[in-house]
Amino acid sequence: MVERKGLGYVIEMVVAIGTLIIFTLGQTPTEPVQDWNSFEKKTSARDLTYVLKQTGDAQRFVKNRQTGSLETAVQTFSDRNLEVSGTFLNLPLESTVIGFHTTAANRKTMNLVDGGGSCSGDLEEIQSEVDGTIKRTQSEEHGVTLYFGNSSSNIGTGYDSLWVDNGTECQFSDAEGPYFQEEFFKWGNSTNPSEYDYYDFKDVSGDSFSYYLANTAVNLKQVSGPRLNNIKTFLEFDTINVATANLSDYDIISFRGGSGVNDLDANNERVESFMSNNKGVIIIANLTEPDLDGDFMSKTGFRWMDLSFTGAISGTKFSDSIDSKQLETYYKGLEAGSISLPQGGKISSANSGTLTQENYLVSSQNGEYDTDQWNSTDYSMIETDPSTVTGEPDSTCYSSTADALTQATFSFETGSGTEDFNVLNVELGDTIPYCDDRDVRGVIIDRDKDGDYSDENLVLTGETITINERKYVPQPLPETGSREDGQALEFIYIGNNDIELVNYRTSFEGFQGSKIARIANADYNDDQHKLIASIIYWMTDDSLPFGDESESSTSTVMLGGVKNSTYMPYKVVLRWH
Amino acid sequence: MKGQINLEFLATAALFIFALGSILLSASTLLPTYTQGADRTSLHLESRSITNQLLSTSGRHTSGGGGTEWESNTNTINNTVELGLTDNTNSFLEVERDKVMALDTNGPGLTYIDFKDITDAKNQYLFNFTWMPTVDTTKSFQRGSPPPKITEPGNNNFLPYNVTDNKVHYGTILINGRDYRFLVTARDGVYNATYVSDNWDFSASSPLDEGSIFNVYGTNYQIEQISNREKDPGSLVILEKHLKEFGANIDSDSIVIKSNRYAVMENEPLRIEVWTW
Repeated sequence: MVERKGLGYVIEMVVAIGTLIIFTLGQTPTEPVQDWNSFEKKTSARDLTYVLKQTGDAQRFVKNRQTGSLETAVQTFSDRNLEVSGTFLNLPLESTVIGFHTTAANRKTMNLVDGGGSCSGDLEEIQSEVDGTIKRTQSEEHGVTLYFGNSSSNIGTGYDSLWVDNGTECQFSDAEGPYFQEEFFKWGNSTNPSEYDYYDFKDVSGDSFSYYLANTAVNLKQVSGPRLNNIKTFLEFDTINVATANLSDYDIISFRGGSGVNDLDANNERVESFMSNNKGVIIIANLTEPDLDGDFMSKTGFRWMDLSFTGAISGTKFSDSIDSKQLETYYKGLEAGSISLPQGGKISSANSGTLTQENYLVSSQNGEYDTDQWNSTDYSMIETDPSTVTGEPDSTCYSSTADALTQATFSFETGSGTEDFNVLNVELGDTIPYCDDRDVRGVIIDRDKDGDYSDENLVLTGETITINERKYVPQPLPETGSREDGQALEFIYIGNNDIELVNYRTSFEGFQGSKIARIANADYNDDQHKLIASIIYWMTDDSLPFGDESESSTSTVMLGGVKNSTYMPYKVVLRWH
Repeated sequence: MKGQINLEFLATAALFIFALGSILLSASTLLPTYTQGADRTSLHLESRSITNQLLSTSGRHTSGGGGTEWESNTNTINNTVELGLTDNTNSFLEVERDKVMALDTNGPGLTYIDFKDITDAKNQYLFNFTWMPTVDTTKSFQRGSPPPKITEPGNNNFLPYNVTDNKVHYGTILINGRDYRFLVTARDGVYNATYVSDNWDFSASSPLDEGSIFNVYGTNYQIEQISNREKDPGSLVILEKHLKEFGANIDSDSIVIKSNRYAVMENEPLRIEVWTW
């Protein structure tokens, strides 16, 4: 009895304690959970984002690519409490290196000889800056000699500096040197200012001086920067031999002329490998139809347009596509005027899955392809008994009128000839009064040529159909005095017939890559060069990251725009740490 | 038999009392933690509310016909019914200098007691206003070949200009309607000194490093920071001028929270440090 009472007391105690604990826990308020550091950080981040924008500091940092100054400003304003990282977006701020392939004919060498030649004893200006013997070119370009030395600041023993005596008779201004390896220099004669070329000083090996023609690179460098719409950009230009250069050092490579395209095809594997790293290629060349069969060109997806023109090519215009608008913005940012461009070959970019390019990059303001020859018409479609056709669509109109079902063979352009397809022209309706009152027609094309229309799509009047990469709209022609309804049908080509002047591709048929652009090869003026420079910017990465790349729980976004010769909007994404 | 007190009962009762005591002791340690957390919440929320009000409204007085320029004179200050620091267009985070300067802990401007009455603040506050103008020194020249308008500094015996690095940055800032000109020089790749003048003739200027005070046009400013980030060294100089401290002395025995707010004053950044307890 006593033992059971003792056990009872224990049980009662346990129950009582348990009840008390449960009650107490239920009544005890938990500590408010709030990360006040994060709260304050978010408040400061929002304030600072606004302040940076309102003071104009952010815009100045963006325009001048001053990511470091932005980080310094945030850290200083916040008294070292905050750090910022992020990305400048929608402006071509990322540094971009462009390599211009130089064909064999333009990769030159020249022998060097010791001494100053006609300037012997008169080269104190050079001798004061170099060690050892001065060398000179054995022969001349443009009647001008180059002089070489080993600069005193150079640790090695190679001849790394050159001077151009461009007719000033052993006097050397700042513009005549010293030029160092991988620098462009102008080799010309001051007595004939129009006679010069730009070259890239490559190397002096023994008594051999190697140099690449660099007119394209220099002309583009001169018009492309250092600012675009008063925004500081960072483009580097170089000349290369695509067969031997380390292509990973470049973001864009360019080929010029027929020889350039031949070299491109000859080095197609290297170029495809280069492009697979999200890189771009610019082709400045006039192309013929056979050129598109090259080892590289055949994989680009560019197509030949075998059509004549109506009107003459003149002027340029941009389309409403995002790419074209972006290119146009950069073009205006370089303060370029109106231009005309040669076409350099009837090339279609064919990005849209059809032969012609719907959203061109740059096309001729005037003139267009004469695409009427692609239309296909038949005025004598034959009335057909539906019971003799396999797979004809259902229609009550068959019992209403004999011309409710007609058929004929139409020829469609293929690019290398024509291809014939049988076509049904059908009047559609589910009641006789409907058939009598209206004339709704559709067409079916026997694409697989098996005589069975049940596996083909019915295309109504006004709808679009693509045949041999060309877009058509079937248009039944109404009855006239000499023909009945259903007797005449026309397939009207409705694709874009603008004449592209700058072709482009963003996806390719044989390899991965970012962008390819093609423009004709001509002797361009400054504004025309600016269009090519705009293409370079269009290919440039439009995001510039900075700072710590780790994630942050606090981020803000700032929108702005730089207004100069044109308006360029930008976005700054900031992560706060 | 009923009501017997035996050993088991006593042990059970003792255990129960022990358990009860433990629960009470635990609860008594939890409560202060909770109340501290609740206090912090109250401080943060009120601080946020009051600073939002100060930085998003112009304030209002009822003197004369009333208006938002409460800082104008003694009458308007004495009749301020709403407190705000923004300019009279109620621009968010755009602060007016005169309103900041009209804050005066012990008078004659708007006192701390006035602040407490007007804002109905439950907690104590201390505000520290620091103005931080930025100088764009993006442009540069090679030492010895300045633009024609610039006269380079002379060679101070202790810090000669002619042994600084070749690239010298320069810029100008307009403060209170006056131009301040700056040169920024580097030594061994680190931009560590600046020369300040009221015109482009720096021949009589001495180098100033970070933390130095300079006085041009009779106003002291401190060189707070010279940018030395890898990507654009020397392109930015940040000045600092402490404008105003306003509020009570901090009670370090209380829970004190600190927050920073930022605003724009005369197109330059303003940092507002806020202590609340």
